[in-house]
Amino acid sequence: MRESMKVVCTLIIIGVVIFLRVTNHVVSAESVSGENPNVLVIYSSENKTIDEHQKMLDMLIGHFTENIRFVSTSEVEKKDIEEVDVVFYYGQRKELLPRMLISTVAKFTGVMVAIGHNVEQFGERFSFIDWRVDSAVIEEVIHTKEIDKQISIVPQSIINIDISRQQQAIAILLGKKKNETHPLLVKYKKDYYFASNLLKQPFSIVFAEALHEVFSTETREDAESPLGYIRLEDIHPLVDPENMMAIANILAEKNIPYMIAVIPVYTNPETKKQYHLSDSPKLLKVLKYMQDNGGSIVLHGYTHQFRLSETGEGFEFWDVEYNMPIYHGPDDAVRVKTKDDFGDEDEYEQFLSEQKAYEREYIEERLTKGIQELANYGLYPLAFEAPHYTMSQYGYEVASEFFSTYVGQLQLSDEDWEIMTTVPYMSKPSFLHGMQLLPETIGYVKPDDSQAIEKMVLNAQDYQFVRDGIVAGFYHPYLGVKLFEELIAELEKFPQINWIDLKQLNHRVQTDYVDIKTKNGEIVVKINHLGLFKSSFDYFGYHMNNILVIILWSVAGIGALAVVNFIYRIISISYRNGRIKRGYSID
Amino acid sequence: MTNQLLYVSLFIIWLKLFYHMILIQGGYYFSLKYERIMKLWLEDSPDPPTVSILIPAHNEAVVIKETIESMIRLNYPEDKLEVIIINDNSSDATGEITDSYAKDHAFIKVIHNKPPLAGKGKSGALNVGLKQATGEIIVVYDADNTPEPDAVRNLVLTLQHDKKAGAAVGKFRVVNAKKNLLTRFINIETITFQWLAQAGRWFLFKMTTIPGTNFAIRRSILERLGGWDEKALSEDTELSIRVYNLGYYIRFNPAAITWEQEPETWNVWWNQRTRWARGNMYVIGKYLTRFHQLANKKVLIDLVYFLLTYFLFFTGVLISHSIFVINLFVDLDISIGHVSVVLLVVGFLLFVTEVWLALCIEKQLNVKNAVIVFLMYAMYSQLWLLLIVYSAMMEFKRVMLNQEVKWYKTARFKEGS
Repeated sequence: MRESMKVVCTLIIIGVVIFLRVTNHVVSAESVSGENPNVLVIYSSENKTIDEHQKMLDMLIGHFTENIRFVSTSEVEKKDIEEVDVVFYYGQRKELLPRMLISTVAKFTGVMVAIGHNVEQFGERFSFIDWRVDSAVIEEVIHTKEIDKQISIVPQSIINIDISRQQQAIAILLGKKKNETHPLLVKYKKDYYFASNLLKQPFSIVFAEALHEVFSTETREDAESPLGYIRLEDIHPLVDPENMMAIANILAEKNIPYMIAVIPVYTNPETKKQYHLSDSPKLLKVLKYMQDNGGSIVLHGYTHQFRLSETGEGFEFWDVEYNMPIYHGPDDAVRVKTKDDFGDEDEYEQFLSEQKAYEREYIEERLTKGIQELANYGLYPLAFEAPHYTMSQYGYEVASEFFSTYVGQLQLSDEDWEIMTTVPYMSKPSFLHGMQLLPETIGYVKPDDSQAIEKMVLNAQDYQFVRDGIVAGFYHPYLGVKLFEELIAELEKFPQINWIDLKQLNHRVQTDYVDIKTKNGEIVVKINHLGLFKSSFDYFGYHMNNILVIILWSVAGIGALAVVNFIYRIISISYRNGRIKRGYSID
Repeated sequence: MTNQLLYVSLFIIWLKLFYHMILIQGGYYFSLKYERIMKLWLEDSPDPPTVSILIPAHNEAVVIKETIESMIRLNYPEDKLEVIIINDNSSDATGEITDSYAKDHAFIKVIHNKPPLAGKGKSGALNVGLKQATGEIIVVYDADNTPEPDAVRNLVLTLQHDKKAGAAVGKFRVVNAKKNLLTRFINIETITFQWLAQAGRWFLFKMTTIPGTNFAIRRSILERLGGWDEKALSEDTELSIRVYNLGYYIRFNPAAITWEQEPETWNVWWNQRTRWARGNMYVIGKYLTRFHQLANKKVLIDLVYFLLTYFLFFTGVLISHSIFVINLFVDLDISIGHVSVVLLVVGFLLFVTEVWLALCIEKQLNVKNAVIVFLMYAMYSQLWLLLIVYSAMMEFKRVMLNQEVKWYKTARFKEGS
């Protein structure tokens, strides 16, 4: 009896499990929930390659999931939609969609988000939309669910659509110009459509907000107050420690955690002389104090320069003179070659892999040195920020082998460093290879712009439109304490910004000899000192010098005590002799 | 690299400065107690033993008279005393003067040392004297010395009361201290040497070095050692080490006082000090390579000290000096910072206060001497630096060319001239 009960129970359990597994991808709600949903992005782009537009989308989706796969319209196969929770179609370019794609999408039963052009070709699925011939111009975007949520934008032209024919279709975002409104993001059943083929700013902000509807994430309890961070920028060995200390005290007093973008080596462009942090013991002391009092270290390159440029001014992981990645030494002749320069495909491939190998070695060396040098001082970088935010796509991949967190904006193209953007919230775009991005969104205090702070505040206001939006900017401490106080005062006017403490997030930073992690708000460091010291004498030399200086000071102290002792003896002997025989002297 | 070199040189310099700090402290403690010991010994003085005083003299006509007079004034029973003057091939009136005294005083004997026996330096002369000597205790004086009447008695008392003492060393004072700046420097130097090195080492490690004059040594020991090493340039240091090897120590007794002449010209000073420096370098070379043979490992302290003084310390000073000088013209990227200045100042103050303390113990600290100490640091001490470099070069040359060792006799000056 008992045995049969057991068998029945087991069968029931197995049955439930199978049911759950099967239904998981069959039953789907109008929006997606759960952790890390599977996302497939089908794109129409120039040359069928992933360019900056797809990467922008990557960054936007990366807030909700780590599982994003990109496939070009011409390459879509039936199996691509298996196990997929959300399909995005991004029609950045106009094109005739392949029949394979159309039939595959027709069979997909999950949530679909279509963006931009070509969507009418999907037929039935998006037939709730009527397409107008002319385009529409909007100056403002409003959120239909929350009446007070609106954002003014620079006039933008969008795809002009109408959904009034289908009663059940709703517009979640409306573009507005004077009294005219145009649907910007519409929804019918499980399908969404965004009426712009561009996702860059200002669309990124409104689209980011709209994605919260698609993924229906549980919003943070304190969702009303935005996240934010302040980064002290370009802190190299010759930065004035007193300014830094004053700023550290202001931030500590206000209980605002912050980031410090540290460049371990300053290179003087004229003398080529390099200064390390060990050459500035006072600054090192301040940085350690900061690290212990709300500050978190971010590695901002190793020298923040290439060729003869000055630290803080130059680019380090991008050759700005040739607008290309670092495929050569600073003094090497630069070989800018295209496919046409090579006889056959193999030779060209060989050339490309040599370039990549060079770039990898260059980045690896600098990141390794940067992390190890700082760790050797007792400063533990938790994230990476490329100088001027410039780095090749392959560079991000190499960096992801050292860091789990990237801070700043992202360069989206290997052709031009100026194709660079941000995203309104934290994200894990697939092209960062696992790195989490803490985007910088509001810019910095430009030294020669008297309205710099006002502009930052205006930028910050935009990000309030987005749930989980980040208000993040940076400041160069050489500008002084007064300006910094003004900036903080302005930012404090916002509804209670939730300042990000890097230590409270999970990070992992590693080299061969250094392993930095965060755990419960604490930095956990493992350093293989022996290995480190063996790799370069400088690491050991720093500690040895510290100990030697301490010993020398003790030596001086003991010597000084002896001097005092001898003077005391001289006085006591003279006093005694004077009493025995006043005025006696051999001389 | 420059930084490491600088640190190493600073450590070597301060190793020596620390040693001096400790020594002068020991010297100070010893100065507080030696008079009491002397008093106890005098209250309980046994029968005096026979004593032979050896005075090697080579062209000492200028000073020998004074020396012999002081021997006659010695407070020691005449029947237990013999003074042997070894006239070592003098070409001046030394022989005549000594002979005239020998005629009048039975206890004064003269040996006229002629070639081929003569000219073997101080060690050779002493060995000749030792053969003729009959005393149980041998006392040595340089020909320019005028010991105080109680000096020999006090040296002998030391050996009588301290069986472990193989030799006893007294204190010397400078006769011509006020002659000129050089003799003032030397006066201060000798006072410091005696209270810091001699008294300090004696108090702390039961070690003293025989200074070449005003010392008493048991005849039995000299016989076991086979006399003086005629090859040694500074026979006294050499002898000291051998005495320690036998398991005896050398005791310092500041109550045995002699007065001696010091060089009055820089030239004479240079030659005399070069001889000393080269002599000590010879000793380092001789013993450091076979220190495992040293029966008394204590001697190592002295050998290391010599090594420190004659090689390491000066190398350290030279290196740190040159680094600072070069740094004035070329940026050497020195990271040491303020501590170097502090070390420089403290090092200077240590020098000044240590010398002052030694002068104070000797009751010679007055305003004039106190000021001269500053001058000494700037001038005399720096000259020593040159002298050591020069001596090292000469010794190096000698070893390389396998040259014979020569005795540079120190020129004497007539009192009051």
